Amino acid sequence: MDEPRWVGARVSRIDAADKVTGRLKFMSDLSFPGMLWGAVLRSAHPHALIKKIDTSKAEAIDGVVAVLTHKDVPGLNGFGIVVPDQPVLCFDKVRYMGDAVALVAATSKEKASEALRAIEVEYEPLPVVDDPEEAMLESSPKVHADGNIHHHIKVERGDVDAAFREAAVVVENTYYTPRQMHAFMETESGVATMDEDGNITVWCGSQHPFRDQLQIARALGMNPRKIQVVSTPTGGAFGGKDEITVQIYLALLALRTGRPVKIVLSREESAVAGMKRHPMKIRMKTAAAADGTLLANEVRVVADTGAYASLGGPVVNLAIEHSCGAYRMPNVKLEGFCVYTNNGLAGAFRGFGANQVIFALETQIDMIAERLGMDRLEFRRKNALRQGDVAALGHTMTASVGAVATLDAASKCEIWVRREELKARPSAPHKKRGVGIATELHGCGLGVGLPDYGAATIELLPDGRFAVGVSCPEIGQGNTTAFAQMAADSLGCSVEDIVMVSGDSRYTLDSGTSTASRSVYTGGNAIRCAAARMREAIADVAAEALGAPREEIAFGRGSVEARSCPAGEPTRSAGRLSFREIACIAESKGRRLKTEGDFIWPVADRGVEGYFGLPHLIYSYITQVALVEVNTLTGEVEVLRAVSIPDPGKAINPVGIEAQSEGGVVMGMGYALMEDTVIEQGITKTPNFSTYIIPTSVDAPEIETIIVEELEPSGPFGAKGIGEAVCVPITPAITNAIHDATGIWITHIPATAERVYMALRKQAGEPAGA
Amino acid sequence: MSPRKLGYVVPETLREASEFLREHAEHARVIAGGTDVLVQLRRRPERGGADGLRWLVDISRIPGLAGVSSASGTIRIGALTTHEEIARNPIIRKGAPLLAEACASVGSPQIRARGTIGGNIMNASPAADTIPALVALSARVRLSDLGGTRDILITDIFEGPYRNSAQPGEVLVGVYFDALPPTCRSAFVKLGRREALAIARLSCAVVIERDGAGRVVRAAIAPGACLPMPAQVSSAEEILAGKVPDEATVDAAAREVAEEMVRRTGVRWSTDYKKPALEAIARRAIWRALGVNVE
Repeated sequence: MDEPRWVGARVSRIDAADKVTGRLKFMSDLSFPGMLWGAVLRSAHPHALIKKIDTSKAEAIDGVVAVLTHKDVPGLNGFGIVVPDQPVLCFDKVRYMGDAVALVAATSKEKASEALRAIEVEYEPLPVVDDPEEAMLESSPKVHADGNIHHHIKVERGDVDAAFREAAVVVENTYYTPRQMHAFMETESGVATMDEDGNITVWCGSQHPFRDQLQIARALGMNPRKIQVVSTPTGGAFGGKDEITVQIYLALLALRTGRPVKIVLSREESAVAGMKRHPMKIRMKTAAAADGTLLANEVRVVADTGAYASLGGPVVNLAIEHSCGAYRMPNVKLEGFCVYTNNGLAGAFRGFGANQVIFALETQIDMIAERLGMDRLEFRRKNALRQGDVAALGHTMTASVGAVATLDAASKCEIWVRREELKARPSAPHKKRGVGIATELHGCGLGVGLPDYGAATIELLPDGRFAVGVSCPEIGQGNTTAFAQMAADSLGCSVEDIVMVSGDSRYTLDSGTSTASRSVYTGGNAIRCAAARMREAIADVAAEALGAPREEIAFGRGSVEARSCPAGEPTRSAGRLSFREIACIAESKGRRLKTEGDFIWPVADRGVEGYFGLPHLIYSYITQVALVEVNTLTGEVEVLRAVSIPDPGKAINPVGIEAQSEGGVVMGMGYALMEDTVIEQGITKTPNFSTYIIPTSVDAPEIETIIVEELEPSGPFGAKGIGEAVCVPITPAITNAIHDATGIWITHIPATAERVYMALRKQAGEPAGA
Repeated sequence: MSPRKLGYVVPETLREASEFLREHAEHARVIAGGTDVLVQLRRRPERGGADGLRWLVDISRIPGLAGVSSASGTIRIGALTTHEEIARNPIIRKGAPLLAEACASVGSPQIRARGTIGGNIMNASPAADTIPALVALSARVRLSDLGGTRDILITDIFEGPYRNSAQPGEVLVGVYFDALPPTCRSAFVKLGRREALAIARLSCAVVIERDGAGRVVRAAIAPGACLPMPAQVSSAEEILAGKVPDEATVDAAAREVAEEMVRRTGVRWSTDYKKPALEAIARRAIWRALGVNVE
């Protein structure tokens, strides 16, 4: 293969022009003739028995075409990626305010809303379970009949108690993390249509069209082949569209009415009904020897998963896996609980359990370094995992490991090198500056015990371009651009000659989810495989057409040629055929050149018995550094600068990595300083962006991204994944910077102005209320 | 969220508007830029939504209600003037810079381009950015009705959070205040949860006039988002009056602003934070109005 021309280049997104001009149609932009508006009746209580549902008044309204309840779900009345414990439409009880009780389809949005108000539901309220630790008690009311502890994981290795006895330093703290909202721009929305043969197409932003197809088919009691799911482009997802959102509602309404039906959730409905990041309470006890060697970590995580399972179990498993970060940790005792409550719904969210535990761990690491009088960065470097090391869960780190490389790069970045100088110059006397650092590793792919595969199709089009199909949807992360770059270099053509087909269950093969930092690695490997087969197919056609031996066919850019042509033949000049000519020749013989490629993820040498999804074999690494300024009079924290140093393996598109990095820094900054979905007694108090505060462009710091490439031999061109890691260590980098500035430790995020101010006052020895 | 059936009328004169508003009283509401009214319509009545509303009266086509003008030292701002216009207006930037600052800190560019000063006043939100500035300017508002107009002090238009004292039929047409002389400086400082699109958690507007010796001749201090009713804090103003302010004087005045807030609101769960934070905001605003930028 030639030197890559597109991979590694700063390529503009293939969808950029359509996005900035507004030409691009998201699923919620689609309209069809005769389309109805669908709407969902949500629960009126966070926890209640349903005594009676009367839809007669709603049905009588002019313009209302269908009103559906649980009786109208033909198949399994449940969905859920791991266990289908969430009813499509509730029948016996409701478990959170977002629970769906009925669906309507009407000729206008207004009629649909009117119909919702006309549905009469009689409830018998039940006590609200809103504290996960109380929920774990036997005496607590049950959200589900089989108890409130949905999932429990316990992993032990070595002897933590002995390590704590021998350690020079032991720090133990309790950390609290907020319920972060994905805050994607496009709310959960889509359209469903049905054709005259009863085939249903669901156009809906999501992260895994094939699993959606399965879950829709299961609820409708239909053959999945009769259901098509299209989910590219999606207007942001971040994990919040991994689970079913409105797909089943859309399909049920289309099936009932035979007409196109559209549902667009309002921001408020999305905020109440949609996924969130698990709030966690984390008890962490960490020990180190006098020379700075980390000895042990004891972790207890209690995660509030809300009303239904979704991916709560796997999130807690990954919190456990990531709770020792990018460090050697010979003795561990790790325990996690995933608990049902009536507090909304928590599930997949960029970082998938790592954000919470890395915040706790990286704070512990700074505390230990301070106690030992060691440099924070040196302490991290000393304990960082190297290739060949045994990780905390006992598996061997055989893939590429970039922990030390990203820390080395951090040690040379400007805000770290000049930190004392920068700290000495705050913008006002009552302001203090600090620099913080944090690092992590992040598992790529689904981990041990889960089917993790990819598949791609490549078709040579009549005009000589290639249609490349990968099902992992484009959710804004830029994977289709990376796929096109990898396909162009694998086929020997230009990015402009690649037509991406993405996120469509009819026109692509199942490549799994756009989650778990996996789609570039998965899709890329599948594309490489399909491309190699396409080159063989092209070579066959060329050899025959040129009358040359197969082994003499060589690939150029966009063309093939026979190295030495027999005398007098072929008639084509120089024995060269463009891909377009190849397509014409194949077509004239009634052939379309189309190949498939597949790929199965490698996994770690050992799993954790009794659990799935952990550990991982391949990890991305990242170190992030933040410069903050704290107003000691008001507690306000401003992030002035951030440096983000990811190791994504090969950076297929450095511009794409930078965009991920910048978005990740701002998302992790919101998590550190301002974001929290407040739920009181089961009621969401922050249902809109006027009350749920996320950073704006004006709040964003100056961000520098330094890419460190530790090539992964099993990855396409050496790539791993980077979608999640970029938003993780920035959070403790910011809170550690607050400590560096002021001496206070942040153990409860978000570090709002009040929390920072109160901590400053406590530090000064003034009682609260003085 | 419940949609509702609302009638929408677009009067072309103040008379038409007042007649309609009188007839429909509590069932009608004036709408101008819509940045508050439309948000409230989305809310359920039990969560502060506008219950019982049947009519929106769009006054944006009534001529003569927009723009800034100045005559013999008095500045007039028409009720329909947007935040964006006020923030950019040279008369305001010269004669009431704190109001320009307050308008520039409202919401986002989109909100500033639609939202009007009249709406900001009549919506009577405790967190409204223009109100502390107008209070510090001792502004008067003009209400128009079938019988003519009446002028009242800005502080008298408020009856409580989100409640104004206008009678059915009355339409706010403008706000008036004296242009600040060159011997005056002013400042508006706001504490939000983020740098843009932030609703004030606390704010403070300050106007200070000094004589040639640097003595404070006149001080007006109006905190925002923290008092039951918008007002000046005269006890803090008195601390500055007649003095050449030094650090101790400014600290004392700022502390008095915070203590007066506690006296007026009582101790709440948020007082532990709001009291010192308001003190810090007030101190910053006073120093800025003394020409010292402590940021």
